[in-house]
Amino acid sequence: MKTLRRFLGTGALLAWSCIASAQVEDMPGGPRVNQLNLPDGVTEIARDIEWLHWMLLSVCAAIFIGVFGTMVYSIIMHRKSRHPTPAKFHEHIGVEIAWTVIPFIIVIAMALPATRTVVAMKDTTSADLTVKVTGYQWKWGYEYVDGPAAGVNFLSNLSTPRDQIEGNAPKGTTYLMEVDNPLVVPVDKKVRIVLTSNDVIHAWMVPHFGVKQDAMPGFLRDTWFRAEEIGTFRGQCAELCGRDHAFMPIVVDVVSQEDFDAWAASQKQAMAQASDDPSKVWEADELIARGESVYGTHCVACHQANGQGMPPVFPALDGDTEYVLAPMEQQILTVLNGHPGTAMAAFRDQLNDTEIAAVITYTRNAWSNAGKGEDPVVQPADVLALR
Amino acid sequence: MSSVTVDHIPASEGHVEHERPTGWRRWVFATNHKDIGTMYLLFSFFMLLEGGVLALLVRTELFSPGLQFFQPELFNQFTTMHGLIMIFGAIMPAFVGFANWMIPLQIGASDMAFARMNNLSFWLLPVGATLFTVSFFVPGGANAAGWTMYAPLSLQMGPGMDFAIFGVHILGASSIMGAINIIVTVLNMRAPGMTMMKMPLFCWTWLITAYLLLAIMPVLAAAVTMLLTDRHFGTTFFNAAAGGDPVLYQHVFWFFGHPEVYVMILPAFGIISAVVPAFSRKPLFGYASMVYATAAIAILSFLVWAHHMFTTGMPVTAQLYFMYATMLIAIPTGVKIFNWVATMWRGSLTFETPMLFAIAFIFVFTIGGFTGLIIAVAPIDIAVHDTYYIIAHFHYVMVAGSLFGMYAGAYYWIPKWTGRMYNERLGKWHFWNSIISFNVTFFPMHFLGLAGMPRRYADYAVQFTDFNVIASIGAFWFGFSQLIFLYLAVKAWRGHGQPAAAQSWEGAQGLEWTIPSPAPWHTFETPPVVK
Amino acid sequence: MTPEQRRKNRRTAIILVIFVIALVAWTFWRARNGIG
Repeated sequence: MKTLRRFLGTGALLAWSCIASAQVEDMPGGPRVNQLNLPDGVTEIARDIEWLHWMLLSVCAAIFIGVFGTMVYSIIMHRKSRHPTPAKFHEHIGVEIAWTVIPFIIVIAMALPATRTVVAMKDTTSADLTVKVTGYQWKWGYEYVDGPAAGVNFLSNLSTPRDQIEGNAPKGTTYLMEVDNPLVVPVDKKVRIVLTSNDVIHAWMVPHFGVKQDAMPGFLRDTWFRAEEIGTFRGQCAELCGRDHAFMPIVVDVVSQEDFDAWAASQKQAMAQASDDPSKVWEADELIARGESVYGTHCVACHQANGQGMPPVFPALDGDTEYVLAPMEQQILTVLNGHPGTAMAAFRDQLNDTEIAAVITYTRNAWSNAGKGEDPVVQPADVLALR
Repeated sequence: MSSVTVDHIPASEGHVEHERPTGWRRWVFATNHKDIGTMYLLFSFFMLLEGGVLALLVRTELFSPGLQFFQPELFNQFTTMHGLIMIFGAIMPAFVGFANWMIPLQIGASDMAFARMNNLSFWLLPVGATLFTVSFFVPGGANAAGWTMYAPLSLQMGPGMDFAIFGVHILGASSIMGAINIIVTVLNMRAPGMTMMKMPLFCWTWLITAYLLLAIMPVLAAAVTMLLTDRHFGTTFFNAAAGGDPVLYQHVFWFFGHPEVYVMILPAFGIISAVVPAFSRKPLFGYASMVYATAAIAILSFLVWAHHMFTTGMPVTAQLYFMYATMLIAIPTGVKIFNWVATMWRGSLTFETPMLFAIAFIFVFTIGGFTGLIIAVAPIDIAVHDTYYIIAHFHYVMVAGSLFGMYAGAYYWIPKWTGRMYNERLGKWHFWNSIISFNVTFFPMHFLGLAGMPRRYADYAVQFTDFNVIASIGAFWFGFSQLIFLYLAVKAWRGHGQPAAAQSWEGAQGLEWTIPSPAPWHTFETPPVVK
Repeated sequence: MTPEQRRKNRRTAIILVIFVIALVAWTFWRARNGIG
């Protein structure tokens, strides 16, 4: 009676909590509500893992039923009231050999398909795209090493509001598995993830990809995936890393190659622009110093360090009265848009406003140009106005 | 194990007569294996409750998503110390308690080989346990880096980490001394005629366990000492920037850690191998294979440690080797399971509480063993490593395995220890509540892990809520059920209940059943001759 | 215990202790790169 009441009470509590959470929905790209098994993978490796798990579980279940069926039979048929005289046997060489050899064969049979998957998971060669992932306490950093987004790097932080965590606001469907800046990768491309950490060991895990790899400080580890479906996929840090171990998730946006290229371009531009504030007013010598370094990287190959160029192909900038010692508009437009029909490239995508302003200011004050001409100083705002 | 007959030889060995001490001196200066065994068992049960309280604090926070009661730093202290206290304070000392009580009785020895060292082995335990407990109250709190204490995270912890390190040193020293004592006793002090292959399997499993302990506890001591020196004395074992390697810590730790889990289960195998034949009224099936299988498991356990490290980025050959070696352990383990079932087959079974726990052990430990085989397969482990699937696996083998094995042994031997039959109805209540609530708590964790819920998380995605609710309810139910055992054990100890005969159980075999219940303070002062 | 039994026990124990010390030393030797 007491047991019955206990069961009813527990059942009521369960029913209530099921109702209470009835409005919870499956997380897109993340766990389903009350999910029982591995997620439906979007990579071949993830599907291999699902198959291996199903195969092993089935074999184990079959053996389990066999062994415990025997034991239950024995419990029923060989209880003392039914089987008062116990047998005396206590060994049987044949049976003992059989139940050593047969499990051995079963284990080998299980290990063969597993071997194939282990080897496949370790093969990070011939990647289409490489991304360096850095674990921090407590966020991830992503840096594209090659491809259209080469050089793009950013941090990816949990974006769930503190209110939700502390229970002052209802929790969203992607609670704890949403970030401000997801990792973006193209679909159907082999992406190699190179991992390290800035502090302690973290682990980068995305269940739908079948990927988990530790991020070690001071070392590089790698893994790979080829996502076969467009969508957003979510994971979490899987190695205890301190206080906010549960609060540094992973979100991967898998997009078409075109969308990826477009995203990459806008990222690069945003990065370029984000690094300098175009409305800042600079001092002349700051601009000249900055401009000298820009010149040294981007201009010196053609216009030479002494500004003499190699006319007629590469005009001299020293003493040039058409652009450098003239009002600023022409020079700005030329640097921004290039000079069609000549070797002068457009630098609007490679340099931001501040860098262009700086390098132009430099040319207007370097060599013998100092003190001559109009508009010796060009501000970033001037460049922005003519973009 | 063949049944033994006993002949007493008139001539006696030198045991100096002395007055039996009373009061606190009896316990503080104890050299009697029965008294020391009792103290180990009492201490470990207390630690079981302390570790259990920590688990309930964890499950309280995890009842719903969000942070309701504890900040994550404190939560991680709970999960960490729950592990350390249960492993080093509850499971290991409890098995040593069983060893102290039963090994001399089962081999016909008057006491352990080194009775005074035995005393030290015990009294180090409360010191170590105090360090663990007190560590919660130092600035920064207790160790919160997991019971595994991975570097470099453990290098960031406050003084509580140093308390844990010293606690581990002290408890480790106790284990090493206990292991030496057990090996020397079993090798050198068996009664005449008690050959190794006539010993009860419990003595075999403890002998092998003791060798494991000797080989691994020094390695653990080295690992945590390296943590200590990295933290305070300028070494850089685990600091990559200075030429060290955090993965080195994992290799050294798991070289200890994997055989350690077999330390925590082999004695249970020995207990089950005594209980099942007793209540089947039939000899243990395949005694020799059981010995060889246990030895095989012990040797293999040294060769598989990196299956805890499949995600650290080891070369593919290493990944494959450790997968194959780990899968092999399933074979001797399976042999043991089959042997227990074969022992029951065509026996004459009764189902008193020890047998209930023994049968439950076989059933639930096998589930844990199967999930172990599943995660031995490296690609699957990649998916579930550091998730609740792992937590489910090891609680199945360590709680349903080790703890239920211990309960089987406790109920089996309480009549011998106390001279009273425990209350059978209460025993069955304890059993049914425990086995059901255990499964309610831990079975859903398999689903959580497969779905991707990581471990050591103070908060989780809302889709995981229902299974966490079920686990938390089960945990409280399981915790409170253990108080039933406490109640009936204390009752028996205080002399309530039916008096127990020397042969307390109809089918029980072994030298311990030839002496009165309760066992006299001194037994086998003259070694019996075993035929 | 007879004195002879005690002697046997002591000898076995010393062998085991030497093993333990050797193991600790070996572990530190293998990890020597991290010292200093």
